[in-house]
Parts: sequence; C-alpha cells; structure tokens
Amino acid sequence: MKTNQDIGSAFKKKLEDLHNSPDDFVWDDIEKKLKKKRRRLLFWYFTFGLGILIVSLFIFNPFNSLNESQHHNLNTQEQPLELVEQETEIKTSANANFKVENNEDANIISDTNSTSNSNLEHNNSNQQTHTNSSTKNQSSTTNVSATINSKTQDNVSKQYNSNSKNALQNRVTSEKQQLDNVVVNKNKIDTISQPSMVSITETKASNSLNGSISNNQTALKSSQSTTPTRDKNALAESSIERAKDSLLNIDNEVLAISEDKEKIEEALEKDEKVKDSLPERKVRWSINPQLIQSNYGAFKTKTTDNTSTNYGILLGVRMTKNTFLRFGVKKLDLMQTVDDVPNSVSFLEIPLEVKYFFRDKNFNPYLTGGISYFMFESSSSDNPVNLEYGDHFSLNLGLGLEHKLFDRFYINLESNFNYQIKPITSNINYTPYIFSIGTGIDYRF
Amino acid sequence: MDLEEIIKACKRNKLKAQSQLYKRYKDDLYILCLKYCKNKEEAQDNLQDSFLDIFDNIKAYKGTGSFEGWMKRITIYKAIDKYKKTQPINIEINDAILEDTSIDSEIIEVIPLDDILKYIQELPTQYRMVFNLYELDQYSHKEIAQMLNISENTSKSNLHRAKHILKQKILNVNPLISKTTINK
Repeated sequence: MKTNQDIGSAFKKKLEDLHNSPDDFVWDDIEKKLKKKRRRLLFWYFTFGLGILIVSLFIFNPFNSLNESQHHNLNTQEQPLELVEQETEIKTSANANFKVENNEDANIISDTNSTSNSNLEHNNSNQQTHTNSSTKNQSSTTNVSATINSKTQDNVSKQYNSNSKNALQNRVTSEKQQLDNVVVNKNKIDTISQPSMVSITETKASNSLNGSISNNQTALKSSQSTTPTRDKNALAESSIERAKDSLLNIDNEVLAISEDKEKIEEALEKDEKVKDSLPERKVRWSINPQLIQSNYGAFKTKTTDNTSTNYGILLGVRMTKNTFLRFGVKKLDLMQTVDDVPNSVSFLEIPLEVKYFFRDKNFNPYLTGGISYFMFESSSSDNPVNLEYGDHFSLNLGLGLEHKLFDRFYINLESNFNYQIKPITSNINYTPYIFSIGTGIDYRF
Repeated sequence: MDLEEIIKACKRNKLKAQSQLYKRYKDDLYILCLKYCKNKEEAQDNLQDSFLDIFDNIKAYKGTGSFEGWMKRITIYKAIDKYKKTQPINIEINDAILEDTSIDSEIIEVIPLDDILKYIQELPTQYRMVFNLYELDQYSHKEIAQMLNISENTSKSNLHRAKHILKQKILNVNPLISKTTINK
C-alpha cells in the first residue's frame, strides 16, 4: 500500500535507527587537550603566585627590614649610645659656653660700674636656664638620636668640633680680658680707698667661671666704694688667684673636650666597622646550574631500577645575609619499576625554595625547603593499568654543603627530598617520592 | 556513578568523570554531528570541539532542564559556528517552490540508512543546517533565522530547496523505484 509522507518526516523517522560511534582517537585528542589546558592553567596560577611572592618580597622585604632594624639597634644601643651622651654633653657645654661668654662679654663691655649684683643674679638665672635647656636638649637629643644615621653623626661631630673650638677661643680671650681688667682694677684700687663688701660676695662666689667673673665684678664694685687699702690689696690678689684658677679650669676643660673628641672618633670608627661587618648588599643574585642524580622511589611499595641522571638551573635572590630565595627549572626523566613493571615519566620541575646558610665561611652547610610545581611532559609504561600522570606539586626539604672556590664561585653538594602530592591521577596504592643528590657551581653577583 | 555525580565531578575538572561523560553521550552526539556535518571527519572534529566546550561550560549548567538537551544545543551551535566561519555568504533564495516534497514511505524503507545520511551530508551547508534544525531538531523558522542570521523566508526557502534536492537524489539514485512509486 502506497502512503505518501513528507520527506523531512520520513528522513527523521529513518534516522532514528542510526547508530554510530566516533573513532577512539577522538577521546585521546580531547584528553590531551584537557590535560594541556589544566597544565597551562596550573602553570599560570603558579607563575602568578610566584610573581606576587617575588614582587611582595621586593616591596616589603621583611628580611631586609629586620636587618636594618638590627643595624639600627646596634647604632642606638652600642656605640651610638656613647655618642649620644657625648654629643649631648658637648652640645650642652658648648651652648652654655656660648651663652655664658656672651653674657660675660656684655658684662665686660658694660664695665664694672653699678651692675654687679644684677649680673650675678642674671648669671645665676642664666645658669639655671642653661641647665634646664641642657636637660631638654639631652632628652630631645636622645630621642632624635634614635633616628640618627652615621651621616648626621659626622655632622654633629664636625659641628661640635667647630663649636667647641670657637667657644674655647672666645672663652680664653674673654678670660684674658678679665685678667687684664682685674689688673687694671687693682691699680685703680691702689689709688682709691673704699669700704669692703668682700665677705658677702665671696660667700656667693663659686669655682665656676661665671661665678668667678661675677665675683670679680662684684669685688670691683665693692672695692670702688670704701675698702681699706690692705683689704684692697688682698682683694686684688685673691681676684688674680681666682682668674688664674679659671684659666686652669679652662685648660682642664680643653683637655677633657679633646679627650671627648678622641672618644667620638673612636666610636665613629667602631660604627664604620659594624657597617662593614653587615651583609654585603652588592651580592644579590646567584645562579646555580646543577647535575642531579634522582632516585624515584615510592612509599608502601618496593621499587627497583629507579635511578636517573637529570639537570637543572636555579636562580637565587638574597633576602638576608644567610638566606636566599631560589627558583628555577629542572628537567627530570624519571623511571621506576613497580612489581616488575617498568614505568618512565618526564617532568619539568619548577622549584621555589628558601636556602638558609648556617654560616658564611669557606665551608657552609645549609638547609633548603619549599615547594615545586611538576609539569607533566610524557610517560610510558608496560603496566596494564594505565598510569595517568599529571601536573602536581611537591613539598621539598634538603640539606647541603657548599665550599667557596674563589671570589664569587662556590661548589655545592646537596640532597633533596620531594614528597609528591598526587602525581598519578589513576588509583594506585603507593605514593611516589623523589630523593636526589645534586652538585653544581654557584656563581654570585 | 550516576549522571548527577558525573556532572559534579566534571565541574571539578576530574578527568575520570569527563571520560565517563564522554563514553555515555559520545554516540548520540556523534550522530547529531554526522547530520550537521559534511562527512565523518568533520563530524568527529565537531564532536571533539563540542565536548571541549561542554567541559568548559559545564559549571554554567544549573541542573534545570535536560542535560542531554543542553549538550545537544552546544553541539548544534558548534556546528553552526563552524558553518558561519567557513561559509559567510548566505544563500538568499526566495523563489516560491511549489513542488511537492512528499515521498512514499516504502521507498524510504528500502534505502539504506547510510545513504539517507549521505544525502543529508551532501546538501549545501546552509540547506543542511536549515533541514536539520527544522525537520530533525524541531526548531522554528524564527529560531533558525536568528541562529543563522538569515530571514525567516530564507529559512523556509532553504528548507524547501533542501527537500527538493533530497527527493531528486532519491529519484536519480533509484530511478526504477521512483518511476513506480514516487508521486509528483
């Protein structure tokens, strides 16, 4: 019986019985592309993470800031403390000298007429003011000194030198003038007879320079009034004696200050030595090609024929005197025989590790630790169960020893243990690991 | 592992689950590709790209609607994308063809299935697309017009042309049968 049907409907009905399968290579291609995609993704994650880490370390550099703070502590706690004390003393005495000298000069210029009492009081008040300001200076200088670097210390030292020299010169000059004035006054006293007020002024006089000057002036004024001739002579002689004592005191101070100067210079030298002993910042990078003997073993199973020779290169950046952050690439062609079935697999290892030296001498033991990203390249196996290797990470721990050959060249020998995190995606009842011994030349620049 | 578990594992990019999903749907999607493509090679190529798109976009599948339908749509769109890239020129034929495109179902019965598929694959690409979308996958002319960037009339015209070509093929290949059974 003939039944007409639309050709579209007829075709649809007929095609419902169509059964067909794609060739096997279609899935193989899909699988390869999926693995490649995942590998690329992981690689970019790793590279991105590594980049962020390196940039962060360069920006924040916690190791370096630690060093700087240590250095800073050295500056503020050891030699610099001594420096600060000396600087404070110097500043105080130099300032005081300047101010006292100015006052003295003013007193001398205003001559020995009727201002001695007020001068005495003024000088005393000045001394108090200087003492207060000295205290303030001391505390503020101590605070400021926490941030002082060697440069400012040099400046302080220079300033101190010039200030103290000027102060001393001014002081010596004024003392000489004082002595001359006293001699002139003595001559005047010899000719003018006036009553004495010495007992009052002498009790107020001190051994200090300012006191002596004030006393001289007071004595002068007193002697201008009603002192008897004998007392006048005694007064003049005592004034001369005090002036001489003042000069001796100045000499002693000069000696003391020059001793201080020597101490400061010594302290600065020590500071320079400390700086020299700090890490040499110029040596920042290291490059280390390595030849590696790898043992591809496994936990929970016995492996044989698992040794292979591989190679790699590591680039290091110095974080502290004893620490390098290193990364690089290693080409690993690994092999192992499990249950009499040989497997081989190739990886590209990208390690990111910290290398810590216990010391920095001719023979330096060191520790390494970090992670590695393993990029799967190829594999072959006679195992009936297909081992699906893939990209993965590992945890690394190592111990090494390096020897300084000459200048910036070091030879090293190090052992590394890589704990593999899921290197095989298919179900296996063992966990592979890599134990390797590597050697190479480390060049630092 | 049921489909839901497979989908969840595929969303976590598990290769094993992806392999299972492929095994489960490869035949259905391959047949779909065979109908939309010129030949077996192109169909396998389209199948591969479709599965890669499925794995890439599986996270976007919310679980509403048929998963198989979602995969089929991706496969069809992949074929259309390829067609658009390789054949940017539209065949704009709006001639009214009033020829009858019906055929005796008995003739269809005697034609081998592979030949039926071959006739479809030999259609001009745009005709093949429209024929498959409209006749085999139940898209409307409006939808087809949007998918292929053509007008609805062009879609209708292309469909009619495709049917006419298919009928002519059957008549040419099987002249004896056609003389006796095909009504014009």
